[in-house]
Order: sequence, then structure tokens, then C-alpha cells
Amino acid sequence: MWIYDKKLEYPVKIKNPNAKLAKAIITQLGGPDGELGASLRYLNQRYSMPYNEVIGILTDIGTEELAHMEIIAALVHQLTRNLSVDEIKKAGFDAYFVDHTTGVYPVSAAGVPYTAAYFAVKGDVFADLNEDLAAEQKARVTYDNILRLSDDPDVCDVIKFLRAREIVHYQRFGDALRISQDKACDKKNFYMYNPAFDKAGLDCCKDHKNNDCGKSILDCCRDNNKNNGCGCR
Amino acid sequence: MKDREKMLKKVQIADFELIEANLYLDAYPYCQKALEYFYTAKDRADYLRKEYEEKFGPLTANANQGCDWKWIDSPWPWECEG
Repeated sequence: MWIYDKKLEYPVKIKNPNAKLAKAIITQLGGPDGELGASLRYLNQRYSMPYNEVIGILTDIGTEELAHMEIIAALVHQLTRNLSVDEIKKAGFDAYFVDHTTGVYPVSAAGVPYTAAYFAVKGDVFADLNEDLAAEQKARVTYDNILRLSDDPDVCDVIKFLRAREIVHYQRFGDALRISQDKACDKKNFYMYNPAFDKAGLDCCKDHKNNDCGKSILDCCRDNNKNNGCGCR
Repeated sequence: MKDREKMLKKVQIADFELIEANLYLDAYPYCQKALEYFYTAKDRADYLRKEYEEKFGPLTANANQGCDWKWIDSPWPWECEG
């Protein structure tokens, strides 16, 4: 469960409305590398993770991404406050305005509504953690690009905070990947089995070391999954 | 900066230290130095949160006290005046 804390993770205080900038920034709410997708990616990947450190990292980064989603929404809300219809037209915000007025709706910079197809849950520790590492880098680049487009110091200050968080998250996912590789049974071949699915894998691996059945570990594990026991168990 | 915003910023800074230490400890759960840092930051964050809430109202619904339901009072976090 979650409990709401009535504050932003980082303060947002925008003096000048700027609908054109809001149109770019909203992509970090509902775009392909946005905070909504980030949060759902990590929180949904938790269930097939075999290691407690990795589950903790996904839970806590997934939770922090919810706070980032709120920061982006606050930026969009404050950048589109007190606008006249003329200003909306001039900023090219009219296409968004006609559907959503100045409400905050998760779309990309190009106006495409959010879709869960922006993230993946593969159910495999290495596939999922590599997706997470890439996602943090892509979000970092998006913030770099927003910083190129923005000349408002109030906005840039907040975007720089979010950009720095992507880098910290990338480091923690790097830790998660290393931890997962270290915990794998065969350090030379940690793809040998998927610990989230091949339940016999872990036990088999231990048995195999104690009582070598003459097969390769991989064959032994596969036989164990199929027949519920091979010679070495 | 208003008094409320100043005090809230202190809470935000203290809570941020907790977020960072929390993430680090997820990856390095046996790091005693990080654990000590976490507990020190937690004491500071608890103190500042209590100080803020006594003056400006609850930050979580469960922290509401007294005979008014102050939880729903403005400002909400995104409403800050620029």
C-alpha cells in the first residue's frame, strides 16, 4: 500500500506561465520515457524478482517515480496557469486545450496518450534490469533535451533535480544487476535458468555441486524441471 | 520565502536524505556507516516534520490532530504561488 505525503519531493514554484514549454515537459508524464511508465515498470517487475535487494530497489525507486510524476504534473499545472486563449493559440497549446482544457492528462510531447506499451515486464531478472538501466538513461536524455529547450531558471532548477535522480537510479539498478549476477549459481553462465520460473534450478544447482551426476549443470536442471528429479537429486 | 515554505523546505531536505540512504541500503544492506546515517537522518526528519505539522497542519492524513479536519486545507503541494 501507499500513504500520501502532502508535499513535493522537490519544490516547484514557477513565476511565468509558458504553455509551449509545458507541451514539451508533459512528455515526462505521459511519454515513452516518462515517470508514469517508469513507476509502473518498476512496481510491476517486482513480483517475479528472486532477490530481496532487487525487490527493495524496485519498490523504492518505483515509489520515488510516483513522486516525480507529481513534480512533472505540478510543473505542467503551473506553466499553464492564468493563460489567455490568445496565449494558448500562440503557444500551439490549442490542440491539447480543446480536449483537456488546462487539466493535466498524460500524453507525450507529440500529444500521443500514455500507453502501457511504453514499458515491459519480461519476468526475467536480467532482461528486466537491463530494461531498467536503459529506461533511466533515456529519461536522463529527455531531461537533457528539455534543458536545451527551456530558458526559465525556475523550470531548469527542477528539471536538473529530476535529471540527477535518473543517474542515481541508474547506479542503483547497476548494483541490482551485479547483485543478481553474484547470486546466480553458475557465475560463468548466469542465464542458465530463470530463478523466477525454473523453481528446481536453485535446489538442483546445490545438489549438483554436492553429488555430481555426470551431466552438465544445464542438462541436470532441465531434467529436474521436466521429470521432477534426475540422477543427482 | 514565506515561513511555511521555509519550514517545509527543511522537511523536504531531511526527507530527501532518507530517500537516498534508503535506496543505498537496499543495495548495501550490511553497510553500517549507511545505517548510522539513516538513523541520524531519521531523527532529524521526525523532529522537523513534527515542528512543521504543529504549526501548519498535517502532512499525512493520519497526522491530523485536534477538532478540525485540517488534512484537506490548502495549499496542496502543486498549488505553490510563483
